[in-house]
Amino acid sequence: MSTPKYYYNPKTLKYEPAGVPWGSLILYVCGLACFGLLFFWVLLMTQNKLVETDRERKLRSENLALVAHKGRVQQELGSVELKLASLAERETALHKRIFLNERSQSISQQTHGKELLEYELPEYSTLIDELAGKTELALARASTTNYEFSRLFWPKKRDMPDLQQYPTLIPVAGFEPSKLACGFGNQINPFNKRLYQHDGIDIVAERGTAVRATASGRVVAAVRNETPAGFGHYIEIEHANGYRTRYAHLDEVSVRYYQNVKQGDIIGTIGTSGGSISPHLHYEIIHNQSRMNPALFFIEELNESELQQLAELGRKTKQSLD
Amino acid sequence: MFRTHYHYNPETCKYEPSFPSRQQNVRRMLLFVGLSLLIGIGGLVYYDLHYPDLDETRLAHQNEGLKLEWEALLGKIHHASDKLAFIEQEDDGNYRVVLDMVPLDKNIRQGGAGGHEAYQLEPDEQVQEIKESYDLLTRLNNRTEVQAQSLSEIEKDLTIKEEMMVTRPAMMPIDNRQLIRFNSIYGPRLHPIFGVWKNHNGLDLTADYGTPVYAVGNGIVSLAHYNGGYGNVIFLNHGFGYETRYAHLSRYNVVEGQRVKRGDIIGFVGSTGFSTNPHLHFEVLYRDQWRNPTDFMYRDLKQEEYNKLIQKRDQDNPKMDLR
Repeated sequence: MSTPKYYYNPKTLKYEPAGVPWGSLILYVCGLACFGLLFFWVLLMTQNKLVETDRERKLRSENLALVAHKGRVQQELGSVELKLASLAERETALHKRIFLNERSQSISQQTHGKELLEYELPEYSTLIDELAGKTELALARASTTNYEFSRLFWPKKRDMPDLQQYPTLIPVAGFEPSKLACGFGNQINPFNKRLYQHDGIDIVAERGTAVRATASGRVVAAVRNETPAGFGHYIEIEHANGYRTRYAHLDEVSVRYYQNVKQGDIIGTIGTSGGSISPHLHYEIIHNQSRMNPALFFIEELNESELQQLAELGRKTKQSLD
Repeated sequence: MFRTHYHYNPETCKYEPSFPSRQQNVRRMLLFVGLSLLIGIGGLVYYDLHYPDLDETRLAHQNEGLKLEWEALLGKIHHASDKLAFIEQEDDGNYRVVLDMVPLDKNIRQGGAGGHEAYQLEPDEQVQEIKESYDLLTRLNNRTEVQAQSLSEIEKDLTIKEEMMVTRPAMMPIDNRQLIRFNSIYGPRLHPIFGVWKNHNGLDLTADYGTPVYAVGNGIVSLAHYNGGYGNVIFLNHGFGYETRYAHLSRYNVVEGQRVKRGDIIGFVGSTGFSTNPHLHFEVLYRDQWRNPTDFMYRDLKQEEYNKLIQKRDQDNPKMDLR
C-alpha cells in the first residue's frame, strides 16, 4: 500500500505517479452510501417486524375494534333513526290534532339550526364571521338609535304611576311565545270545530300555576261558576284609563269582589274550569268595551325576537282551548 | 478511469502492473460492507432516537382517520338525541300540559341508567368512542321506546278528549234565521199556563211549526215519546255527563236508541204538552243537574259557519225529508 503507484501515460510514453484517484473515491463513497442506505432500510424493516411497542399494540387493537364496531354502530344508529322518524311523524300528527294547525316554523327551525352548526366547515365559518360582523354593525347602529330614542322619549318621573297602570305585565310568570296556544281573533272552537271570534288569548300552563294581576286596579268580578261552559271561575279587574282585564278558567280564585290589587299580585291559579278542554288561562283586555289583542301588551318581559315570534304565532288560526 | 496501475519494482528495476491480491480484495470487500453496515446502524440509531416507530406512525395515522369517522358518527348520534329531546320537550312541556296529564318522571325518561349488557366489549376494545357510542345508543334506544309509549298514552287520552269535544252540546238547536224569539229566561219565572212562580229549567226558542231541530252534539237517543208536560220530547244522552232535552216537538225524526251526530235533524218544532204556541223548550243537564243552555249555544257563531255544521250532516244523510 505504501508503495507509490504509477500509471502509464500513452501521450508522453512515460510512467507517471498517480495522484489521488478522485473518481474512484467518489464512486466508492457513493457505493458506501447506497449500501448504507440499503442496510439501514433492511434493518429498519427487520426492527419493524420484530419489535412491537406497547403503543403500537394498543393502536392496532384499537383500530381493529374501531373498524369492527363501526358497522354495528351504524346499523344501530340507522334503526334508532328510523324509530325517531316515525316518532317525529307521530308527534307532528299529534300537534296537528291538538291545535288543528301546523307547528310554527320558528319553533321547529330551532333544531335545524343546530344541525348546521355541527359541520364546522371553513366556508361556513367565513360566512358566519361575515354575518357576525354585519350583525355587530347593525347592533351598534341600533344601540345608538335606541339611545337617541330613549333620550327623546324617556318618561318623566311624574309619568311613571300613569304608565304602570297599563296592563303590560304578562299574567303568567316565565311566559314563552310557545306557550301561546291560541291567539286573538278568528279561531277554531274546540267543540264544534267552527270558526268564531276569540276575544282573548290562551296561555298554556300547568294546573296550579300562579296568575298575576297585569296592572293595579280593583276586582270587579270574582266569580265561581261550576257550569262546564263559559268562563268557569273567572276574575275581572278594572284598571285606570278605561282598561279591564279578565282571567278565565281559573282553578282557584284568591281575591274578593271589590278588592284592590297591585300589579304582580297573585290573584288565582290556572285551571280548566268552565268550557275549557285543558288547563290554560284565557286572558282578555277590554278597553272601553272593545276587545284588544292582549299579546300586543306583552312588551315588558320579552325581547325583540320573542315578540316577533309571538306576533307570528298569534296570527295563526288554531284550535282555541276556549 | 480504471487505469492499470503500475508499481516500481526495485528488484527488477521495472514498472510492473500491480493487481490486488485475493486477500486484499476480501479485506477491501469486508471493509466496504462493514462501513456500510456501520452507516446503516448509525442511521437506524439516529432514526430511533428522533423519529417514532414506522408501524406506529402508520397505525396512528389510520387511527386518526378512524377517529374522525367515529366523530362524525357520534355527531349523528348527538343530532338524533337532540331531535328526540325536542320531541320529549314538546311532549312534557306542551302536550301533557295541554291534556292535563302528569309529566313523565325524569328517571323513566332516561330509560334507567346504563344498561350496556347488550354490548359486552372485550378488554382491548375499551375505546372511548366505542363505549360512548354504545352508551348513547342504548340510552337513545330506551328513550325512544319510552317516548313511543308516552305518545301512545297521549294519543289515547286525546282520543277521549276529542270524543268529549264532539259529544258536548255546542251549537244552537235551531237555525238563527228560523228563530222568531229567543227567550233567555232561565230560572224562576211566572209560568204562562199555571200562573205561578216556577223554576224554568231550560230556554224557549220560538219558531214556526215544523222548523227542524238539530242535535247539538253526538249522542244516543235515550227517550223519544210523549211525556206529560214536555209533550213530544227527545232526551239525548251525550255521555261524559251531558244530556239535552228537546220538548214540545210536533214530529220525530229519530227513534229511541238511535245514534245521532251533531247537526242531525232529530225532530220538528211543535206545540205539544204544556205549551201555548209553537216553540222548542231546550234543556241542558250536566251530571243530572240543569245548566243554563246559553253557555252551550255559541250564538255568536257566524251563519256560514253554522250552515257548515248542519250541511255537513245533510250530506251524510241525504234521504232526510224536510217537510
